[in-house]
Amino acid sequence: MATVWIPAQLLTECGGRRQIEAPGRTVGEVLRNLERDCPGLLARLAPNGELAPDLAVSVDGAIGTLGLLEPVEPTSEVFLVPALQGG
Amino acid sequence: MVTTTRPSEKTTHKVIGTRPIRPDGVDKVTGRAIYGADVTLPGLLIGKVLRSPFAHARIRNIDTGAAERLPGVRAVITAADLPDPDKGMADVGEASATYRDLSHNVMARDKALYQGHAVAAVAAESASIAEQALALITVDYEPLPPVLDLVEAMKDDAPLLHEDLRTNELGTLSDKPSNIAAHARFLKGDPAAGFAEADVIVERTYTTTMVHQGYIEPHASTAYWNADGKITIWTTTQAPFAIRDNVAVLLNVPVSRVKVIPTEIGGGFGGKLPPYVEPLAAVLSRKSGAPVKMTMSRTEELQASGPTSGSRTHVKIGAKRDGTIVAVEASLAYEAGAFPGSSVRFGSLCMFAPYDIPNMQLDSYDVVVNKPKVAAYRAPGSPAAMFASESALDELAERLGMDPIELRLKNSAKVGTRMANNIPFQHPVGNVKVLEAIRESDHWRSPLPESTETRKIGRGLAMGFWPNAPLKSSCFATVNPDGSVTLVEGNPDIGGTRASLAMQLAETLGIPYEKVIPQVADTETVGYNDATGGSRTTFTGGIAVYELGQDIKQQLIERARILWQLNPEDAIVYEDGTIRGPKEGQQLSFDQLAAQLFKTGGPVVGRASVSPKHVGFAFGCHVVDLAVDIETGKVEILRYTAAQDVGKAVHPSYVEGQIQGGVAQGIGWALNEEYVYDEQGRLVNASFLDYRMPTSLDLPMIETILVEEPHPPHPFGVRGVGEVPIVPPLAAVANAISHALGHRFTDLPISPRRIIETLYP
Amino acid sequence: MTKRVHVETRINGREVDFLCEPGQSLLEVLRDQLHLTGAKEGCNNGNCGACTVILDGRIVDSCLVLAPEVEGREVTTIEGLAGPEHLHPLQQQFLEHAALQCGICTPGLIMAAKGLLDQNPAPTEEEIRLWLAGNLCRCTGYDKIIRAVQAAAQQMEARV
Repeated sequence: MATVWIPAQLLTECGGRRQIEAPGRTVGEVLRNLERDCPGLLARLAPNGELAPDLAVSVDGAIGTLGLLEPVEPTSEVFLVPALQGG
Repeated sequence: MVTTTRPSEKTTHKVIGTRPIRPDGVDKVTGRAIYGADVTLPGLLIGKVLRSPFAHARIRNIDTGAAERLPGVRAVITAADLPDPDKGMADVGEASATYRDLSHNVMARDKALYQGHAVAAVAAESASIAEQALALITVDYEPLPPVLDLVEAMKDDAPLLHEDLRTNELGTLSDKPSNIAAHARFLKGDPAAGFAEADVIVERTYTTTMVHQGYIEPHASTAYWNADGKITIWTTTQAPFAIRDNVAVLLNVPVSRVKVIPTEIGGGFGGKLPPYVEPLAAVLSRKSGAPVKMTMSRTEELQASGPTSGSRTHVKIGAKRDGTIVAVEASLAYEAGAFPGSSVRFGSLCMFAPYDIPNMQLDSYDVVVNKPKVAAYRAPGSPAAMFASESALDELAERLGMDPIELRLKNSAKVGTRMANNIPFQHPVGNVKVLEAIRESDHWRSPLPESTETRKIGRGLAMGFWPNAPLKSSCFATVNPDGSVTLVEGNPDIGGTRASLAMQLAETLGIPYEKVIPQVADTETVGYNDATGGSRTTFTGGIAVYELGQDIKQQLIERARILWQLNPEDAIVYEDGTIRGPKEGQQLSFDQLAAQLFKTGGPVVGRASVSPKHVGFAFGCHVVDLAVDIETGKVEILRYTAAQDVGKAVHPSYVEGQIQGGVAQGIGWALNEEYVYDEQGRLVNASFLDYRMPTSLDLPMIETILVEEPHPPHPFGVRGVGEVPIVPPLAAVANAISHALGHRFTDLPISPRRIIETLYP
Repeated sequence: MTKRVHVETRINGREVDFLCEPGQSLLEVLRDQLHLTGAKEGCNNGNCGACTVILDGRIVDSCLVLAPEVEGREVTTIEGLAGPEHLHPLQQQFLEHAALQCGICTPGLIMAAKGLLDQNPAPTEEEIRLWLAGNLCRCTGYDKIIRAVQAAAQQMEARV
């Protein structure tokens, strides 16, 4: 089971739990499985079925480009963070 | 003072770490290099923009008839000539924007939202005719109350810039419209419990004003809309592909119809990521049937390009008596300008990143005001946030009676430490090493000069953090019969990246630097490249040329196999530019093999496209000595030393240059640079005379210490170096002034006027 | 249409003539009519020095000089500094010292530095900083520019 670190502003939706475990081979699967515990989470993170454009997914600290398709290992930590560029 | 390099591993590189002359150097010292405004075409028209004199006004009507009738005028446009796109997200660097906002920023539609907001544009046969035509356009404005102050803008009863803007709380919108475009929060641990354990708490509010990147070359673009619908744009930009994509959406044409040819670029620092005049020049060209060149004046640049946010940050730090930091809280509000999308979230992420702090709550607010829409500016978001956090840490060190370096070392983050977003550091970072480098530096060990009655001396120290952005790079290269390699890449060379990429390719192939001929290609010649920005070109571009080098090496091995008539299983090795077969003496140099490519199957072309997942974080620690003249309020920088973890310095001179340039900008931000608005929202200092950037006379030599803690995921250990050096100077200078005068300054710039008004209230 | 003025001058050692409006700046004529785009426009009001040229031995911001003013005078621009196969020592030292990043201020700075070395072949750091204070550079923090000018002065001294 991957561990999802719940963004601070979604703690209410997740009963105040900071980290929740959920199964899945990709970030999308993990979040869909999480939806049972935290109804409404997916709609806020991934409206229209795609990751919100100002968010990025980090799996174990790496920032991938695959969004919801990013692969997840059973021991992975999944984070949802602001997308970043620079000047 | 000589630059010192502190390598943490023995180097075996032949090219990396040397200081060759840059490939584009001769063109740039002889005036031959073609920058944005140097482009000319047959039949070229000149485009100019009419801009709003009001900071906030409804546009009731625009009458362009008289302008259109002026002889020599070939086209006049308003927002009615541009499509009104919907709300997809545009790629304009970290300062995010929707396409609709981007379009409305390029040309005001119903409302002018800041002084200088474009409302119409003309193309004419000369600049003077274009200017006369602008004077003939009449705009019927209904002035509205301007919203200019962050605190006022956030109030419930503030006049609204956008009647439909609601506060975005990570995907949930507020019920009522607001000037607060977004609120974000990072939470780690239990801050309330942490503060309960604190023996000492420091707490203050810090502010900065809007400042400009100050690149010396104004925006300049030439567009030609051909009769077949093809749009070609020559422009000075950090991001040719993003300009292509943004222009396509803004003009509602397919990407395939837009070609962007990047010119040489005269500075950007984030300010040359978004489109400004490109779409207008294209529409003027379509209407006139001729190519149109548009350049922005310096006044237009300051009024209406993309400076960085003014900010207000409240920060609270709790620590135990031994210096252990137990909790921090901060609330940051940044001006986004007229449309949402400041870098405030990154500021909050950066501000305590160098430290291992168990309990953190960092709230950030993105606030629209009637000022120009902000763009990225070098480490966007971090300087203002770390001005607050590093000032507060300095105050904490004072309160605890602790050395500021020891306080920072005691609380330093390590591999495994979780940042404010709870992501742990994965790879070694140089935060401790830069602190140690400063502690051991001649500068830190040297005593300060004595203060006099009127000249007060102080020393200040601060750290900086910026995560850097890896993003995407593509490139290809051809091996020529003389053993040279033409490298085709897609990042405008803003500070020596042709050299740094050529060096990394030469190192990979084991050939001399001079044998690599790099060129920056247009959007139809090379694969997609993200912007020259995010400290990424030498980093991600370096990974790309390394991969491309592996591709070439593999192909050359196969060519040698043909020449030597070897079987697939026979071992051939490529080492240091020499290809060796299994038999004694069976070897070819790169040059020898290159000369035989045509008879072994034709040219060899290597290619690569990369999107690295593991970026190398950048840390710096700076120390400054300065003197404050308490009769005039003038601050003189006496000595400045900057230590930075650069991973591996590919071309040390250009790495030092990035650090020195960032320091200069940071000092300007700390001491003199500011946007000054009157109560109507008019910028009163819209020239380089009154917007006071550092000159050669304002600075000493800037000493650099290059700490090399290699970033393992990069083939040469490189980290991005360009952005983080602008971060520490703000707090370092403020801390030094505070020590010199015994009064803590919390508002930038600490100009002579502010010092005098503080000393003699 | 404003009546245009005929101007005869010398630019980079060659006789040149052009027609211009009386109010046009030397910078505009150099760039738009004579295609000498080495002089850059950074501010168009004399604050940044990117358009520096040498007029009768003195450095000027060409954006502040009216084009008709150069009648009968001698103008040197960045394009007139290098020979066909060699660079001026200032140009060479700017390259050796990595004294340019984006390069937009470089032509103006080199022309300004030439103006200094022509009258003071061995300036101190302070004299260089004072002299170049009218030329803004936003990329380098000036450190490497000062060193390049010092090195060029030494190179020119050694040659004499």
